[in-house]
Amino acid sequence: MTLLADLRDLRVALATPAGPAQVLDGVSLEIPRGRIVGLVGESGSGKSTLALALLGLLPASLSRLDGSIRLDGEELVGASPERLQALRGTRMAMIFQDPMTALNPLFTVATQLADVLKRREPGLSGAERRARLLGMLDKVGIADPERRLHAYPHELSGGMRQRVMIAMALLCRPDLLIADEPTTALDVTIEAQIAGLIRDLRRDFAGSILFISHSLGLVAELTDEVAVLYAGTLVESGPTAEVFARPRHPYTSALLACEADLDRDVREALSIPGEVPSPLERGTGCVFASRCIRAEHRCREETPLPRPVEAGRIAACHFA
Amino acid sequence: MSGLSGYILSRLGTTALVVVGALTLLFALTLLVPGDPASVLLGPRATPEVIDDLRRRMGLDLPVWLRLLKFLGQVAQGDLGIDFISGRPILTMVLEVMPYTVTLAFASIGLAVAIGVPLGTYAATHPNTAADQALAVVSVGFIAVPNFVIAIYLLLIFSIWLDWLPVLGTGRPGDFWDQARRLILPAASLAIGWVGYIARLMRSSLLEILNEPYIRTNRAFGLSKAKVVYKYALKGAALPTIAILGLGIGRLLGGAIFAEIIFARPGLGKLIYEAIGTRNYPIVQGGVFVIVLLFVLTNLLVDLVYAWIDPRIRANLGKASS
Ligand SMILES: Nc1ncnc2c1ncn2[C@@H]1O[C@H](COP(=O)(O)OP(=O)(O)O)[C@@H](O)[C@H]1O
Ligand SMILES: [Mg+2]
Repeated sequence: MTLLADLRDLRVALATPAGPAQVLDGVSLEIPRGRIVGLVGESGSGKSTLALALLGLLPASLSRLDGSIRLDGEELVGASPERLQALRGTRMAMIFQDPMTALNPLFTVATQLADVLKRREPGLSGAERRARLLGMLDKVGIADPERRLHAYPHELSGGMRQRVMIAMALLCRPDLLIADEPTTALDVTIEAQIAGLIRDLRRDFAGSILFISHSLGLVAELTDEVAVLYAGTLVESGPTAEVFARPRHPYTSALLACEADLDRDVREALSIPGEVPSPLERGTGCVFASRCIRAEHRCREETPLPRPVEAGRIAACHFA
Repeated sequence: MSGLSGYILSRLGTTALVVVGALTLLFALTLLVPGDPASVLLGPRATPEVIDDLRRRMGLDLPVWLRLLKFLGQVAQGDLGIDFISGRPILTMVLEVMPYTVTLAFASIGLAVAIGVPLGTYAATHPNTAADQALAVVSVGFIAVPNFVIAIYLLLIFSIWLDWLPVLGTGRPGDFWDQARRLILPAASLAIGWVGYIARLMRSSLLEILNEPYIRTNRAFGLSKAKVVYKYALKGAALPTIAILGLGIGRLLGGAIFAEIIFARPGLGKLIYEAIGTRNYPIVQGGVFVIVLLFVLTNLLVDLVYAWIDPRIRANLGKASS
């Protein structure tokens, strides 16, 4: 099993109006080739920041990256903006949470998809490109692709727009596709359809996927491995089935307890007491100590480092 | 498409209302200004009989409402009246000078767009650099300095000291280059304030669009910076500027007057200005009416361009009219 992406001790500091915030504080994550890796954690834990750092999309003037991100062995931290742009849309690409705003309202679906395909395969003729676009819309489950191809985004439903985004990602055939909460903005039935689509596409899509979600149910269903992020720190990672069956970190346990077979409305109401500490006010000790039912004196004094707890599994807890 | 034609119809309706309203106001203006037009026109030595005769010929003896209706009816037929001094139809006089003013206004706006849009785009794509900050100062300076001051300085520098461009007039009829050369300074003096304004507006709207999630999508799929900015961001960022241009052309049609005076060019502004001096109200009415008409038509055009650029507006039009 070879590694496609290898993040080592990644630190991201963002300049905010309130001062510099250490949004990612030493995260290590491995994305094996051809696998789907889930990234979970409450909102504000730094998932999107990690994704944007990986793509080189954090604003250079407002962010500071340390550590290492290797894509196929190539170091991306400190790579030139031109190099990063060359990798985006060919080796890696990303789809976003809110399909309502992810497409430009002033251009047709055809125009926006064609520009992505042109970049990936510059040699295609207009007719070939059109055929590819139609085929791809059909593949992602858009009925009447002829008509939809020439639609503007506002003429499509949220679910259909997210299908268009997935079509865009597939046209691009990246080695690494990042999907940042692709179903969170959709209602429950559409969420299930999109999740089903992603599952079906595994057969055709040979690349790796970093699947970011705060729906643990989806992550359990779709991913091979999972990493749990809390307040900019990786608290646990390992094969999804094992992590969910026997969590080793109290935060993972708490997340799973909240999720446990509840439907979405209840899930959101029943969350872990307390709040994710702001990146501006992180002291010493375990980041989760203030909300952890097992926290002891030691947890507030000594920061637990992520360490192997069994084969293929890592946890950052003194008790793991 | 039926949405668009319905929209054009309803916009034409409101346009007609605006025009009739403007005409009524213009008519009322002649009632409010003190002094009897006939006696003013004829001068202090005219006999009462001559004045009465002219009053009758000008229709000043009729009741006000009848005069308004007659006025509206005539305008509807394209008749703006007769100039009692020269005896020429006012429509002819207005149409004679209108091309000069329209050319001047569009040349100014064209110049302002040609300079302001690239400057604003550069500033937005290089925010907070020294160049951006310098542009901000220069733009605000351009906006703040009155047009006529700029006109006089341009004349001094380019015509008198450097002797690069002709001083005055519109150029020999039929000689395109001579006319174009003589258009440069008046157009530039009107354009400079708009350059600053358009540059500021473009900068802020483009910066806003560049922060939109769909621009992040473009970048996540590796589209080149040029494609992201010039194709995907600029279209939306141009909308506020286009809206301002509609107003700008109207302001320029009215504001062209001082440029026409300083640079000794014929034009609507100059025609109206001189007619006010002699209380020649029919000419004032005719001239202002044509300016209102041009203004209203430009704004109609701007609205159509808006609907053409933004499919969401087209969609709302479809819903509204069906
Ligand atoms: N542009 C930004 N300016 C200031 N703070 C930010 C910015 N982006 C993210 N943050 C902060 O970084 C942290 C992580 O955010 P994010 O990566 O969006 O988390 P997630 O995707 O897990 O919800 C949050 O505390 C958020 O407030
Ligand atoms: Mg996020």
